Amino acid sequence: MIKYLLRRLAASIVVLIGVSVLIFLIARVIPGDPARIALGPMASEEQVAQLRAALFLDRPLIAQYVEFARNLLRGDLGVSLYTNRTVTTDLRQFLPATAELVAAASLLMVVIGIPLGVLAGHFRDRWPDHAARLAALLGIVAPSFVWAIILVLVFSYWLDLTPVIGRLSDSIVRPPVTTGFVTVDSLIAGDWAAFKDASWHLVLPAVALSLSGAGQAARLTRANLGETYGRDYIDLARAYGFAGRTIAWKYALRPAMIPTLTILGLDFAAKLGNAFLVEAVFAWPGMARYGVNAILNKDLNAIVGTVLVIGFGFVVINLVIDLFVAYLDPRIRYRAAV
Amino acid sequence: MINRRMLLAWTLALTLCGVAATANAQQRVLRHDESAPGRLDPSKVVDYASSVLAMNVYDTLVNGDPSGGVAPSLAESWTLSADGKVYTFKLKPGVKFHGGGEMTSEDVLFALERTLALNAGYARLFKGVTGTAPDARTVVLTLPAPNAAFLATLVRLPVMQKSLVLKNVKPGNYGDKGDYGEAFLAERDAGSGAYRVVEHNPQEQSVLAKFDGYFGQFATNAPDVVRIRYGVEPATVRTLMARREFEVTSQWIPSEIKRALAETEGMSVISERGAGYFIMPMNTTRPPTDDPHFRRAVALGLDYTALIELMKVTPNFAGAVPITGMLPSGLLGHDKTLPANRRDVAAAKAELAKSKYASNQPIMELIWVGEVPLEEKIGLLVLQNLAEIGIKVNLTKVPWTLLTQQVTKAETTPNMTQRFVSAPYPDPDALISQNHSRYKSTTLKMDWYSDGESDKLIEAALAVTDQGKRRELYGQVQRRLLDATSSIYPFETVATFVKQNYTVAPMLDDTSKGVAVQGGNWMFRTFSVNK
Amino acid sequence: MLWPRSRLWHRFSRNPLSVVGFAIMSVIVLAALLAPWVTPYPLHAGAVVDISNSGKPPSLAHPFGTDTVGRDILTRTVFAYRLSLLLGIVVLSLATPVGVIVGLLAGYFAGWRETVFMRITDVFLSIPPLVLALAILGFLRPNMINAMIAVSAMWWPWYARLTYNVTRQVATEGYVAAAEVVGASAFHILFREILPNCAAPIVTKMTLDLGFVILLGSSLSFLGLGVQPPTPDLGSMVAEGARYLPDLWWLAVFPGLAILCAVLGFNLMGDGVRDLLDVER
Repeated sequence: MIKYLLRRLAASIVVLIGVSVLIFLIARVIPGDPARIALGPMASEEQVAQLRAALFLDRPLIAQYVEFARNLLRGDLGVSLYTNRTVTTDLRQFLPATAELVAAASLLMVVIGIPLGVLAGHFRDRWPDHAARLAALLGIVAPSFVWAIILVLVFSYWLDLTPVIGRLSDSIVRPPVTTGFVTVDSLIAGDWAAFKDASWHLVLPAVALSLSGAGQAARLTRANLGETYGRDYIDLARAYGFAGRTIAWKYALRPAMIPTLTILGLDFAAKLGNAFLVEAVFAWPGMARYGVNAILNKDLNAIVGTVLVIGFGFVVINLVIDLFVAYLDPRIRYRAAV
Repeated sequence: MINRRMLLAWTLALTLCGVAATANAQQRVLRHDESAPGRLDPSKVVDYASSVLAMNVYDTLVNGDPSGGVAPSLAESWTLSADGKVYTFKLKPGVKFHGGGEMTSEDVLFALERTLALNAGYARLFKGVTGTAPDARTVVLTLPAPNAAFLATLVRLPVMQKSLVLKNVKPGNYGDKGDYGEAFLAERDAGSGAYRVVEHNPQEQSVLAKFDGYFGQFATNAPDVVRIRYGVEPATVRTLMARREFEVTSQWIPSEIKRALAETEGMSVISERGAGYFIMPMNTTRPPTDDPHFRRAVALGLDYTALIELMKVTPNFAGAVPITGMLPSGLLGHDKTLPANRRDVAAAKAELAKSKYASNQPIMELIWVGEVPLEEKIGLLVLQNLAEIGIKVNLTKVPWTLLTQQVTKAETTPNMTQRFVSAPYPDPDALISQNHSRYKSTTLKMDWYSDGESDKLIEAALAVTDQGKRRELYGQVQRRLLDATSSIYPFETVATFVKQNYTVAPMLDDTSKGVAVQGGNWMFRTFSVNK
Repeated sequence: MLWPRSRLWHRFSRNPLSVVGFAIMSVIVLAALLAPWVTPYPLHAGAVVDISNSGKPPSLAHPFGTDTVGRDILTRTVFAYRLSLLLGIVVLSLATPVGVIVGLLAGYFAGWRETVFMRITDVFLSIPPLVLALAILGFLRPNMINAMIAVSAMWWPWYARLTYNVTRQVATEGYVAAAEVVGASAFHILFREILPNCAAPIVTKMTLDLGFVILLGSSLSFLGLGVQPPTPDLGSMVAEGARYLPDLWWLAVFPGLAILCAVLGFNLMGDGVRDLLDVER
């Protein structure tokens, strides 16, 4: 186990170095001159040349990477041409917002998706199954930002229930930052009003973001539940007279969770970068939107910074999921340790 | 087990359905949206959003004037030397900065030095300008050559408090000036404007508060707080407007949404015009648009009435008006006697027949920028119009960054492109100089048309100060360029916004009070929020 | 493939829902193929601008309403199936085999193969689709084929991760050990013993992914990499139409329903296909 973990950690560092090299190169292949884009068409050639020099863009690629790596080791990701601030400042400000949103959405994916799938699997080919299928597919037929708009229209425009934009109402004083999650921070500060307001702001974007993942989770759970229900050992367990519910949980649900959790994990990390349109609808000051704007403006430092964060997210979540899979089926743990 | 868990989830959801926060009643708030990001650094302004910030947070020596020229602001008065190169400005006394302290001529010079050193934003306009400060209230600026547009360009030189900036420099590339306050001014302000920055997050929002020490006048019920949100989805803006949680929209939301809002009780459309046009440059170096006959066929083939109809916001609120020549109505040199656009299918076909592509016609590539959905509609109409005269068009969507790359070479610049342009400073030079050959390989000059004579005329019009003479020279440039048909100017743009009727925005409510400066009509101190 | 009267069809049709799914897909594919003949305004699939008719709600003349330049949405929806389905099917048939094979190998063989394959997967996952798409735009011609390659390149790691973790679990089952004991070849164990037992989640994921790929078409086309206007695709119609909600609701709702039909049909059919594989085991 420890050996496995160490091996994975070592591999993860290699992965992150690989990601940094790859994104460093790929970002430079994106069409457009970052200096020209940042300065605008009015700027003279000489202005553009000056900025290119300041960004080391006039040096050979290797020299650029060495400069980048040296700064990275000092925790310096450079300045974003898009926001005119250091990338680390930007990430520190935008990442918690996205992380909070994605965490809430992931929670919803699990809470909505898995029970829906279990329900469908239990009543296979009867009406609850069909209803659950339709519900699950709805999350897939429109991108999450379309659901975001629909939710805003229903709950904010017609029903006038929920707030529309931002993480907190203008009138609420933001609790001191400890975790960067406004909901958690307000709880730590014991500010109940702020917590309520922050949660209330979080609900719609989180729901919108969770629908596609919840739909997938439900379908995958249902599909695998059917699979494991049919296995020999379930019959055996039933023959020994376990209560039906215990069977469902321990022998059918646990292994059936493996595909669901694998995909949910990927979805979690992917949403760190993909949530940008939902963030745009709710004016959520998140990293996903920052990353996309950086990409569209060829803001090299910001692209590399954001992608490294997302890459880190994938590495960590995949490790967690791989370990969790071993927990769900103990026989795997034994094998993995070899 | 499952049921219990679901029950828990529901209870949680219901608890969260508490009371939404109540609005702050004591303060007058103006809420508005803009395209992201808002750049706060006054020396790095390049677009509409950052112009609006600079106009409110900082002051300039002069402001745009509704009559077309400039009006005094920080400068009370000025004189120009006989050779047209030396301006002497007398500064207004008692102008206070947000950070405390009074403005002196040193601060003006510092703004100039910093702009030139950073060499970003509109720095190009001040290249070669040097300054001295004989006393605390006098600034002398010396130009390398006479420049008729110089006073107008000063609306792009925001004055900042030297001592405050220097106190906040960090290590950087500018020698003893460190980073010249780049990090500081990206998030904080050092201005004297009517509003000071309370909070600034480039992609989320800027919060501005009324500056009580401001030297100028506020309108009655001027907003105490201004919140500008960046990059908000149109459907969200629409919802916020309907909930009266937003006072004025940006111009960037689709006209269908503006129409729906305009039909709502208590809202109306406002606009600014006279400073911008829509241009369709044609690459004069690539077939088939390298042939003037072909380009004329295109120009005669477009249905300008339909284009203007397409731009309509409501049945009686235009988003575009006809243009004569290439200068919009708010600028010197606008000339009603210049030929107007017209569609003539027969003449277009005749021109096409005269071109070298009459029999063997390559497909014309027309692009639209993905970030500007309106251009797709225009592109479709062009496609349809030109099909009627027998010109084959390929409509392609490109992201902005790809276009900036494509235009760096004549071979990769598309046959026909589209661009909405507005004047950064209130002088015809701001627009017409974009036809100068020096802008080749930027998005300003996508027609690659070089004509030494036009270049000379553009330079000459800048070197004379006599307005009548300038008007005549601009007339000549326009005729020359229109005859070459290197670009088509289909209409003058009218930027439209929707406001709540309890908000008054004088320079936008009545276009005759507006100025021809990008962002110049958004002086929030002139607004009123009568709620 | 699945012809009536064949043995496969017999098994497939045991579940009536699979037949319903097959019927839905047949209708959609047929309508898409015959689009110029079955739609009311075939010209509207191209560059037609009719301002006087723009933004009209559903009516008898235009059952799905018209878009912001006056084109018939019913016509455009049917035409949009052509490219959207093509995109979905090509991407899935490129990405799935690659991902599944990588996942199988990594999941069954512990050791260096596991490390190398799965860490490469991690690297691919980390590059955002938008960056990859724009980078491709930088040096390849923006056309459908390159778009499909780009999407496939970002899609396979998901199948690799999914197959990998399921394989890890299936490999511990008794029948795999039994096959190993009798000395079955690795090929046999991977593809005859393990793969059929991974089929359920893979097929389910595929049936859902059809929808996701169709939607991704809109991001690609935003970058100018995918379908070019005036040619319609469902993803872009939904994404762009959503900006006009709620006033011009028909712009997004009908293309959305069209995606729902396709995904539902494919999903029901997928269940039938899975039943086939089930029996083979």
